[in-house]
Amino acid sequence: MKIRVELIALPQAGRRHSCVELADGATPEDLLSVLDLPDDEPYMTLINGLSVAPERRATTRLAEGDRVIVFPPLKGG
Amino acid sequence: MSWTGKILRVDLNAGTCVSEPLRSDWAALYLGQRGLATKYICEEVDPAVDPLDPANKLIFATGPLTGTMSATGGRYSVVTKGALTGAIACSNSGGKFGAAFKRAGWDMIIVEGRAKAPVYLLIEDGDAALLPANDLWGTSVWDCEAAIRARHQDPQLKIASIGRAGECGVRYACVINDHDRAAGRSGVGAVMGAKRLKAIAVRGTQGVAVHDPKAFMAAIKAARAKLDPNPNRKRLGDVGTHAMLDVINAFGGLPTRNNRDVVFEGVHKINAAAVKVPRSGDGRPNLVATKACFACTIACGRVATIDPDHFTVAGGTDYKHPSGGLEFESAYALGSMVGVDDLDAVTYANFVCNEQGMDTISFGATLSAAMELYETGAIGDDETGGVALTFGSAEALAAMVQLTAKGEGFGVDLGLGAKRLCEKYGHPEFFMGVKGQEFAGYDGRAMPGMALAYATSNRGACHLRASPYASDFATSDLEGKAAIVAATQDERAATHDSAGICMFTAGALDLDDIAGQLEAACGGGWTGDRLRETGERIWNIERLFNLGAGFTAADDTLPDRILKEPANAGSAKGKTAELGRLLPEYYALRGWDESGVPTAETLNRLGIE
Repeated sequence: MKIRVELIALPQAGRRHSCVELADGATPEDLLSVLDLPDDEPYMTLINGLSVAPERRATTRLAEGDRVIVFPPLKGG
Repeated sequence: MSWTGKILRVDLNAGTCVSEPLRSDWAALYLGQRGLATKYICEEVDPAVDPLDPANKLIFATGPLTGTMSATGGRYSVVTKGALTGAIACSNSGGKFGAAFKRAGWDMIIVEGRAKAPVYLLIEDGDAALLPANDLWGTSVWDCEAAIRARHQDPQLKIASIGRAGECGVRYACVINDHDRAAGRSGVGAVMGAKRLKAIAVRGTQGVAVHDPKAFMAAIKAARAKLDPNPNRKRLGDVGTHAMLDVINAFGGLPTRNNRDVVFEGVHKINAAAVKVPRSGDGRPNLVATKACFACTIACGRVATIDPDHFTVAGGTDYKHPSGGLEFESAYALGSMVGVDDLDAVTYANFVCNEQGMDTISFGATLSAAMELYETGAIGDDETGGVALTFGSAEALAAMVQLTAKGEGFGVDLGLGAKRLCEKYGHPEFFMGVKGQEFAGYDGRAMPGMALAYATSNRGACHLRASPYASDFATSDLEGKAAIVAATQDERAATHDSAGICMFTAGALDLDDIAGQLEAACGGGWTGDRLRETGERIWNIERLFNLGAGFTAADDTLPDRILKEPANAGSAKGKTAELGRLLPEYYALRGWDESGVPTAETLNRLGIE
């Protein structure tokens, strides 16, 4: 299945908007693993505009055409 | 130890500057900066006083790490009863001014009374004097700084001053130091203006001694080892706080058009990517450089330019030079909140706020409220002088920022702040804020923890008093939110508002890291746990001050728009903010009764008399 991915406030600007092909039944955790992001901070994810808590990423199923936004844990200022 | 042990007390009534010893017993309980200065305010100022009355006091305060080699150790705070809110106010700033006055040999400056005619305070190490400022009154921050340096033939003078906004009583006037660093919120500059104190200029040539130099070097080296590789440090240097704009917009929590919307369709024109795109006219981008405050290893500061062909700079040469650029809150308040997606106009408004000493958040949010009043017909062209205050109008933004900063025309009304403005024109429901202070760039419907943080902030709506970000971005479940808000309120009060270092170390340094630096700097047994307790003590004396000023639990609330009108898009679509469960839970965690009053047991535990 194809997942639309948008990275925000991350250095991978060239892949800001992209499509990722994943196996059916894949999870947000699977998606993060193929995005090749540095593993030095916990990322936040929105699926179709709704947040998915980090502890639910391994059990939440993605679906064809889902739009996933990934961003780092910004703290305001 | 890193305390100089000296306070400079400036009596504007008598025209005197007197040195007095620091209350080290209070420093042991309240640390420095926000905590220690608030203790002095609580002891010396009647909380019921009018903020603009001479009996109110204005304190410039450093922390124990200010002026040291600690990474980001250049912070100072301005503490007073706020002109915007009538609540305790503490506004924190960077730049180089704070370190300079610590290195001149002073921990704090307490300003009291009111001068008969405008004055400025000149501090050269141990010498301090009040000098006439009649010729400086009416100048901008930028011209004032240049004039004082020229007069004393000292380009190294570090200066904190007010612009015309502070002189003419704009309720959210701020104190600006080093050209464009702001002690921004709650109207501390209006208090300074009411005292007729135009500026404080400092030449500090002394160092800051520490309690245990060897341990201090080890502690700051250990902190750097954590801070330097931290991805958030690099990101803040690269894109500044501006990166938050895209995040909060995607989340559906970016206040837009006076919080009627939570997603701004024009965000891509004013975001962190847009400022890096070369313009077609002169080939330069908006963002031309970054800069750092004293001892800072992060460098989140932005330096920007305006397109020389843009309508805003046609008549003013000052605005054609590079100056302080957009960070997130300014981009929100001068952009989405007023619906403006013209990057040059937003940058121009930001420049003018710096030039004349005005809080960008409160100005933008107040203009936004005025735009809603205009749209509904509560005000019209008779009030605005013929300027159409329509959402999205770059022309209205550019015109009104000048009028407000100079106290002219409809700018006088805009200078009241959104709460007073909306009450004056019969629509108090259009005020988007808490305790008289306008919201920052997060909508409480999308962020339940932030909603509680806004409602309970002691200085009125504020995004810096607590840190519910990670929790709010992960889940809307209310479980645990009250505890996160209370705990981070305490942590921030003690560490990044009272120690002398910047809050942007927070992603890398924990309380024990900061306590280790403090212990080496000033001794006395500082630990992470003691910092937490110190923060709780600070929070409680601020609360007591506000109760004395007349605030009650009824003020720990949010506008009806946030509590009753569901968000129309984003992660919180269809939802409102909920305080009904969180507030009682928060009061209980704090050890306060059902009316939000600290119990005797809580005060005894914290050693508050």
